[in-house]
Amino acid sequence: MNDTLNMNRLWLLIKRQWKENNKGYLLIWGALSLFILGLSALTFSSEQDVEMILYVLLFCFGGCAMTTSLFSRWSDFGRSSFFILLPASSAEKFLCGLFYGFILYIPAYLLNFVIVRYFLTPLLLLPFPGNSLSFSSFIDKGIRDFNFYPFHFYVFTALSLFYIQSVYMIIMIQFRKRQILIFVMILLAVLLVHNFGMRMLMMHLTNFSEGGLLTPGIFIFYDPGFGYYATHANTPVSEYFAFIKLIRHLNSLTWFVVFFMLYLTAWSKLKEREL
Amino acid sequence: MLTIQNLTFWYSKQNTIFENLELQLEAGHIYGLLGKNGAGKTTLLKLICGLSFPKSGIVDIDGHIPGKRGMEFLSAIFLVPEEISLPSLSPRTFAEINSDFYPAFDPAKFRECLQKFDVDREMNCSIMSRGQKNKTMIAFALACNTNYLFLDEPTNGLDIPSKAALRSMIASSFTEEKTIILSTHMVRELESLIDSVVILDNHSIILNNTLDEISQKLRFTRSPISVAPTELIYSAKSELGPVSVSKNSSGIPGNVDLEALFNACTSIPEIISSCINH
Repeated sequence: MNDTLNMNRLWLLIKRQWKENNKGYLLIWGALSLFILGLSALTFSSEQDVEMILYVLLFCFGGCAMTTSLFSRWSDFGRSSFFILLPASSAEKFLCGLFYGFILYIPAYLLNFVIVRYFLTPLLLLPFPGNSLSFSSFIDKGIRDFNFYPFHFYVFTALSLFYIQSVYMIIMIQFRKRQILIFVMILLAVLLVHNFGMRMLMMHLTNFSEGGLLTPGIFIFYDPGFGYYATHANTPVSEYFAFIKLIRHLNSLTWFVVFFMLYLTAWSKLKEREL
Repeated sequence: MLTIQNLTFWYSKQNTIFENLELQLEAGHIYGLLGKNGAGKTTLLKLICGLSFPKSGIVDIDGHIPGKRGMEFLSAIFLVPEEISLPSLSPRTFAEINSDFYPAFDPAKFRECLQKFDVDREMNCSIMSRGQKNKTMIAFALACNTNYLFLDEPTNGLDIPSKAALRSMIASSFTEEKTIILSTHMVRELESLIDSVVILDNHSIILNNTLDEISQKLRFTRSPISVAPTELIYSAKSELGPVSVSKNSSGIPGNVDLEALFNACTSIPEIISSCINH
């Protein structure tokens, strides 16, 4: 009997997971669609693209919710013991979680995003009298949006999902209770440490000594290297420190490797989970 | 065969649950696992199933280490925990999505068990009572036909007809290849089913014998007058009157009063054990 990976068992797990959680998944999709619709409707007229970061966050947290519905009931002994003792390997159980939060989720989110933002939002906004929008303006905006964002934006988005999802999975598997709270606390701690590091870097690379704790930029991977955004004498200042191409790729590769290791950690935690 | 050697386990070092525990269970028996509250009955089942890992010592089931959670091992065991939690599905759908993982699953047996338990196959588990959920899970467990079946307090939440149905279904699905462990503190409800007793107390196993062995060596009476003082080992008052445990010098097997045996074992474990095993 194959103890590690059997595609038939994996498929059975995927089917089982859908039957058990389809209502939850549809609820998550409904909530994601509503968020995208609301955000698109509110920000459509503006030419600012700051809301894109909100879509990225939505993408990451939606991915977490989809993935970890499989592992989120450790406080319930009956349910978790049944899941652990179900004759399928921990690799199959883990991959089943990734299937919903990763393989299926990424294209489904993109499709949902395009449909809601560029087709449903016009249907919501166009009937309002007095607005100068037309259906073609939505299509134009869609084309502009997708041409505007460089390849590194998508790399950054993927890395954000990998990071948040892997940390979330580790917490969901490791802890029995208050997983969401622990997750938020860890995310905040990492962001604070990151911001502190960025601030230290900026203070040494630039002549800035002003600015609050949260003023440094948070885009480590933003093309073409890393950068910061701060306020100096009440004036917004931003600057990028460009990496040469090789370093840029190495930087992204390093983070891919780190996040891959985090996923491996989540899998090993699942394998050794005690109840 | 299930073998446990030198098992030590604790949740916190100040509170050791088992210390050098030794146990050997053979196929073809229905074991009653008895112990006071907090003695470690559920913990022992968790260790046997690989849901917890020993701090030291070995747990071995037919050559499998439970903690490794290998596929053959998982296909050979089924645990019905005390607290049942079922997804928001009907028992029929629940069986459909989980039965493929158990190679010996018998759908007809599942239907029959649900029928005997009087559980509707199409009713959503989310609106079931605790007893109905228990019955659904027990029906699924019996239909899985695994060689090792562990039931933790299976009679909790069951009504009187269901308890009788449970006894008859376990008895009918039992074969010589199977090992069934019933962890319970309601000994009277499963007395007729159990053929061997394992008693847990004070971090270890204080008794592991078949009822035949016990009844050949010990005699249980509800009237102390009929027992010769030299034969008397243990006596106590119960709500049903005085109960005594004495040496069975005739060797003719009688009935075993599990409640009296348990009380005697936890009070004078060495004496009871030496009476049975020597």
